[in-house]
Amino acid sequence: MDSNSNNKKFWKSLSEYNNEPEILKNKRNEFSEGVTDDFEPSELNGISRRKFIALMGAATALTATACSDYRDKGEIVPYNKRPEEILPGTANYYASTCTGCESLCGILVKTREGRPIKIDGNPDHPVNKGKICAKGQAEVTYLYDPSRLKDPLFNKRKVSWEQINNQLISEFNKANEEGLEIALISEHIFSPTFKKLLEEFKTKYPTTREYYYSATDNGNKLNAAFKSYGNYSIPTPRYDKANLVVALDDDFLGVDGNSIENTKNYSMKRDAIDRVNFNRLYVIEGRMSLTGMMSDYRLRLRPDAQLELVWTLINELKNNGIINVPSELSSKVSDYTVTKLVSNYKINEKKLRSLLSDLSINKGKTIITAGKNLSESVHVSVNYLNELLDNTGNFDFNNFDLGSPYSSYKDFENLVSRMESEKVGVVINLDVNPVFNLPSDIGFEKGYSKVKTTVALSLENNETGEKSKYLLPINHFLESWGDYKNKTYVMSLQQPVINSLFNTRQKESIFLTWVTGEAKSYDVNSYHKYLLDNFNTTIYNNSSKKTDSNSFWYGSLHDGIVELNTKPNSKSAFNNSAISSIPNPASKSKFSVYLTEGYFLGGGKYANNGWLQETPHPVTKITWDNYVSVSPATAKQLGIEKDDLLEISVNKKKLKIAAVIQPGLADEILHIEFGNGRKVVGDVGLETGVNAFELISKNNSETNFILPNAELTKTGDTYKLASTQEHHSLDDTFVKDFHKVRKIIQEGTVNEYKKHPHFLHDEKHEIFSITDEHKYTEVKWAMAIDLNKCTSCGGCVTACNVENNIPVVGKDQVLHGREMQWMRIDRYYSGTPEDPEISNQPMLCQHCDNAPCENVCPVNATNHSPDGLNQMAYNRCVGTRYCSNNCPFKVRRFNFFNFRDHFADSYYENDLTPLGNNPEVTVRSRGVMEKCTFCIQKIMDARQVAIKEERPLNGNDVVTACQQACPAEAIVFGDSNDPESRISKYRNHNLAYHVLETLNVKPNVTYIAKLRNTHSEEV
Amino acid sequence: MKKTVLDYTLKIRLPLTLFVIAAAFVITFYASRAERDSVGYTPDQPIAFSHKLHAGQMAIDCQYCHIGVSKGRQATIPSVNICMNCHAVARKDKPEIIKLTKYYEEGKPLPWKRIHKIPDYAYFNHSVHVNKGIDCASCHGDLKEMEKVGQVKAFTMTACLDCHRKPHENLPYLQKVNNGPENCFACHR
Amino acid sequence: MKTNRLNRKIFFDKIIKSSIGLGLISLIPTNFLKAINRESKKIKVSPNPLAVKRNK
Repeated sequence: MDSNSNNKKFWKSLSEYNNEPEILKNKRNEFSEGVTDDFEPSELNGISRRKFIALMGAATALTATACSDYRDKGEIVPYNKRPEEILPGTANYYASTCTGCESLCGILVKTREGRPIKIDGNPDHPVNKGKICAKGQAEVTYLYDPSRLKDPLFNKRKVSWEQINNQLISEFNKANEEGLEIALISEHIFSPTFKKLLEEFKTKYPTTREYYYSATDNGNKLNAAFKSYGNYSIPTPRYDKANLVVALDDDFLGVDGNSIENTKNYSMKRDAIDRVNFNRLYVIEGRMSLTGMMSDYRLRLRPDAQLELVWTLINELKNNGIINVPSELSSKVSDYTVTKLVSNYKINEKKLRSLLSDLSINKGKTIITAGKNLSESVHVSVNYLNELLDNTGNFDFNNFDLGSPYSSYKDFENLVSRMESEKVGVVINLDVNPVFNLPSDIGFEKGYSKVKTTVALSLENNETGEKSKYLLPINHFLESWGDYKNKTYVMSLQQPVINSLFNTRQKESIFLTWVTGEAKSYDVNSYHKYLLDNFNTTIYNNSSKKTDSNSFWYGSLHDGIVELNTKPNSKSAFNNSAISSIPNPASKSKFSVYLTEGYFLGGGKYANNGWLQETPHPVTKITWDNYVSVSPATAKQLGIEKDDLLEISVNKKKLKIAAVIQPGLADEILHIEFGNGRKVVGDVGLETGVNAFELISKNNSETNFILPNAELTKTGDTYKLASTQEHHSLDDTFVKDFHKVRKIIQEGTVNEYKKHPHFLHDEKHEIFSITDEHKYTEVKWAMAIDLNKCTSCGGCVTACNVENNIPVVGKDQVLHGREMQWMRIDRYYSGTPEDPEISNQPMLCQHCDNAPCENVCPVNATNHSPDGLNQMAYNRCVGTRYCSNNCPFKVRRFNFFNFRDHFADSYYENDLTPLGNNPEVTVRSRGVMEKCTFCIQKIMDARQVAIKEERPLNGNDVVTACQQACPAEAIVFGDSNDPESRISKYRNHNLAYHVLETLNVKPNVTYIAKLRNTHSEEV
Repeated sequence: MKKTVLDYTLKIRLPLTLFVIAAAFVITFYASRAERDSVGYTPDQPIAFSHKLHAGQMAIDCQYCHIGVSKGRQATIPSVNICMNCHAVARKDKPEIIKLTKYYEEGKPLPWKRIHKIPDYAYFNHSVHVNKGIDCASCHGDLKEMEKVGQVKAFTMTACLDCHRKPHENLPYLQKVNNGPENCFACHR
Repeated sequence: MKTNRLNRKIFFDKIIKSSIGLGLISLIPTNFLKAINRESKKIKVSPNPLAVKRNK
């Protein structure tokens, strides 16, 4: 009965119920009688509503159109009071120092209209000599990062500087009175002035204690240096002095030490152009590193067995009478022989014996180094071996003595226990991120939340800042004053090239306010004054005083450096007890996790930097993520494929991470790079990998970076990794050694070249053209890349990105193969998966004389210029993509989206990021094809200068962005019509070849074949 | 056969309409060419600056104010402090100068109306032309006679290439002049 | 009841009026939009006068 509700009848009144006729009649009318009596439709206004709205709309539109002049071109607004140094349209250069890592390279910052747009090396700096790494190049975009902190925050609410400083000063005083510790956590301070300021801070607040750590630290090396030589300064190898280099898991061309200095020096000894001058590089490592790719001989050995290797070397050399080992130490190493090493670790015996013979021959001319992730014992042993072989002359002992080691995990553990028992009143994090970097079992995060006053000084919000009560935004180094010293003979100066963009302050100025105790006393130039005073007292007073102090200061700022007249350090004697105190090596577990620093992320600092995230890894060419590398044998054994999601468990911690099969990896290690996995970061850095620091435990027997007793299990899921280069299947006979068959990579050995200089052109046959050749009468630009020197560090790629406004496309577009970098470095494997040989080749637009792309453009957007360049007119391009189809080198890039607003929330469409664009280069929109232009903007600038000086344009006037960035000087650019130029020498060299020569596209980029310095003539 | 309405529309009306539309477009296009190229565009400026007085009567050199023209790509408009070099004392009671001083003292930007503009995809380099000896009047007209600045020459690619290909005709006062570059990369990067 | 001729007349009428309307609207100057956007650039860029530049 209830389901009959739709048959129910409803009525509103009794009359209705009774169906009275009156009501029924009224129901038909919308309005009851008489209501509309005053309403006469015929007396209505002539204009209906519809017409009225139409008229209003037309009136608005007409008014709008009448209000403007279609010829209007906007406005042009000059400066009101033009700053003297800025001329719109011309660039200014400032010398400064990059503080991205501990290398502290000197830089030249190019600014336009007061904004820094490019960072290059400072040619006057004696250490890096005009070169800077990929991370330094990308720092300029970090300045314009929208996720930068803009105001001081207290408990996440915006406050003023005066307020927050007053509060902090009173907290410091209170902690001081109550005897509570003020913990100051930072990286090692390389600035003498800041050190002085911190001493004053410590005098004012005596309960201060300093903790130094670094996510990418050299802690093991530093402690070993102290144990060996008695001071906290690491001897720097001088690779230009040695004939033999033995690198034990040391990525000295990559991220270990000052890679710019190392690459520069190392490349001087890989010279096939001027004279055949080659060193020999042995790399014995567990993972595949950039340096390993460069090696002449590579041996695979798990990193926890390196100590046994060094002792084997010492023992064998002693037995052969090459070195003298004191008797009390020889008993320590007497057990270790080559046979034992080979049987335990399956190391390649032939190569090991050849290493021993080379070490004996090159006594005194060798450099043996160990990587920073290896244990202290290995470093001490390596120092000892260098001593025994008289190699110490090849090292530079002039590094600045840091005076104290890095704080160990034990120190941090003690700090945490004090934090828990409320003995710590204040914790100040000075531009560090301990919540992210420290192992979780130290309990730093938990202890941190118990401290009353937690302060974080940082550029962007990170994991530590998130948990801090006081969050103080600091200046980028491009907005700061400073002085830095990490060598004893030179002081690097830093000056702001732009005033602070936001309400931020320099970290030293903040400390200055705390030292004076007066929040009001801050002045934007207060640290400048303090710095200048210190400079005059310490440096100017000790100089030769040929000028007055002001001129000396201005001259030093102009140069960016001050050479100090200090006597070179003499090396102290080696402390033999360092060796005898080394414990015997432990037995090895099946799998160990090996953690190394990621190439481009600086331990987590650069997670929000799109360019660095998208620069492909030198070995695996993977972007945007980290991964675990397993060896091919392990993969076969466990049935692992690329992109499988594995779970690694070690030290009672688990981590889910995607797998990559890496040829050449030692079988027992699982290699993970750290720096990814930031959780509190801007939009770019979110979800870019996993945090490998989570696996580290505070109790490590040997080193923090080798974690034994690891287990791995397959989860069954997959995780797509975005690689810019597909891995060639080495087993597939069709593609095996494809690059050698097609002559993309041509290589030889030094011995073969010496005997037979023309070996490369033996099989050459004549190629004829069916079209007429074009005559180039004036300058004809050409480039040469020396593959002997290129280490695939990626500096050229990042420099090109910064110079040419290349967009960042994001992970999913890279998965589609749509990365936009104009220059890429191809990596080819050959040989076997266990012991591969690797060849690198930077590939960019070859500016072919017979360019296949020019013939097929339907709208003639790409054609050839009279100076030999392949031109690209963006405004003519309609996006057919036929040119990219035809390019045999696949170097053309298509803008599938307008990458400025393609990201969610239009990440790049804001007021800040476009400030870093280079105004001389078009910012391309959707639908146009782009490619390397041989830096046409630089060529045009040089032409402008040549016309101003009324002289013809010379090939040496132009330095392309990639050429300027390459620390190995592998790229040469110039006028190939000039027979005297360096580029002509390269083009006519015996080792010169073009890629895919038989296609007769006549590329203008010449490659110099790589020679490996092996004993035999075979490769 | 009976003529249907559709037949009539298709054979007569449609082509006629199309022809009328096309003719209208083409005629308007060519007839408005000069105006679309902004030849003759002479807008009012926020301050009635007279080139006739300053560049003509007082014979101040172009490069005294437009300083960037021989140093870089942009010719640059003078910043207000260059005007104040003289006008801090010269005629400072005149109404236009009072307006100028007000801008200077308040630090407000002076929004001059832009007249000569080429599209963003073309990169014109002033210093290369000036350093070769080309006079400002060759492209910008005789400014010494202009009270209000207007555009006298069309800034289309055809006009530029015309001069590049026949420099001797267009610049008779230069003794030694070569043909300008004709390749794309010279102006379109 | 509408005839074919009336239908066609209404149809063309609609087309002509809507295209005129669209054409006019498309001429609304971007000046308006530019004026609105001018104040959004709040980031002040200025050099530090104490820094020393190089003459290249």
